[in-house]
Amino acid sequence: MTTLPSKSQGQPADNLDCTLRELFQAEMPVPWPQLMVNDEAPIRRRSSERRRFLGSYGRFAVAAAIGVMLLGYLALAESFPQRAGRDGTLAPVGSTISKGVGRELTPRRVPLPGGKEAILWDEMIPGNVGERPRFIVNVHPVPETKPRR
Amino acid sequence: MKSRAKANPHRAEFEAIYQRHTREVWAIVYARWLNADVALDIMQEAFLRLWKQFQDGGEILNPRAWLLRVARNLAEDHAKSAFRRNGTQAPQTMNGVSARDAFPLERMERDETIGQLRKEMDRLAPADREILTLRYALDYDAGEIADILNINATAVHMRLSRARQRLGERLTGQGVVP
Repeated sequence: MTTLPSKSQGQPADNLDCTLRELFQAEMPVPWPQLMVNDEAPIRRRSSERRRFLGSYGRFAVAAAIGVMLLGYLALAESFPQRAGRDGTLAPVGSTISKGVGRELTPRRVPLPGGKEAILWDEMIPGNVGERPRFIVNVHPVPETKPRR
Repeated sequence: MKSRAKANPHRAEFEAIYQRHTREVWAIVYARWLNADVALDIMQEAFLRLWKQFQDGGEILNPRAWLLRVARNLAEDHAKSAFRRNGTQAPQTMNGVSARDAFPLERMERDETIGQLRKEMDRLAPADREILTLRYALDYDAGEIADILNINATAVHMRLSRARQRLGERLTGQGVVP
């Protein structure tokens, strides 16, 4: 049984042995890490458990944020203007939509160049006495209805 | 400053186990990954789990075998998580030669030899790498290696001799003279 080659023997060390020893010994941590442990807490180390906790907490935070956004949207939904219908009317032409005191919308059809039509809402914004009234005008083209074959 | 809590009665035993076996555990993991940082992380994790066992009052008859088994399992788990993260085995970090200053030619050749050696070691079986690591990192003899790996000393001699021969042939085939 041959003994393992050792640099402590009187014979010249094999080159491969020297290289292997040099490689492995260079990889070992220097100084060797000391034991850090106390009786209350485990050894300090990089913890994957903390990452898992933060991951679940993060998901909870995202879900809560989405819930708050949904509730806020539902609560404010009344303030958002409704979309126009297929023919561009929000309400029957000629009727009046009230948006509060002094703010009334009266949609009406108006002709456009080229024979087309549009639904027009004009909203007067009340101002102070003596001020010129201001208007907001929204125009929606009436989509053309193709004749059925 | 005195510790304010009641000392764990197993603390002294745990510290003794740490002093005796920490390098062996590191070596076993290093042989699997050929990465010193990964080996250090997994070694610490293995001892952390041992400490938790002591705190929970668990009794371990053979701490060395327990640690080596836990370390091997953790090393395999690391392989699976590395595959999920990277889509392949975690990249080895040892093949490059980093030069901070201008090296003499001999040093550069030496570094290239070591780089090639690491590549060839990566191709060896993990069991062979374990024997090489225990032999050349810790200077263990055949009996000590056999005790750790649960094989007989003859098998240690044979496998070590074969691994060295294989490495030497491959390096020579690459034109690298160790």
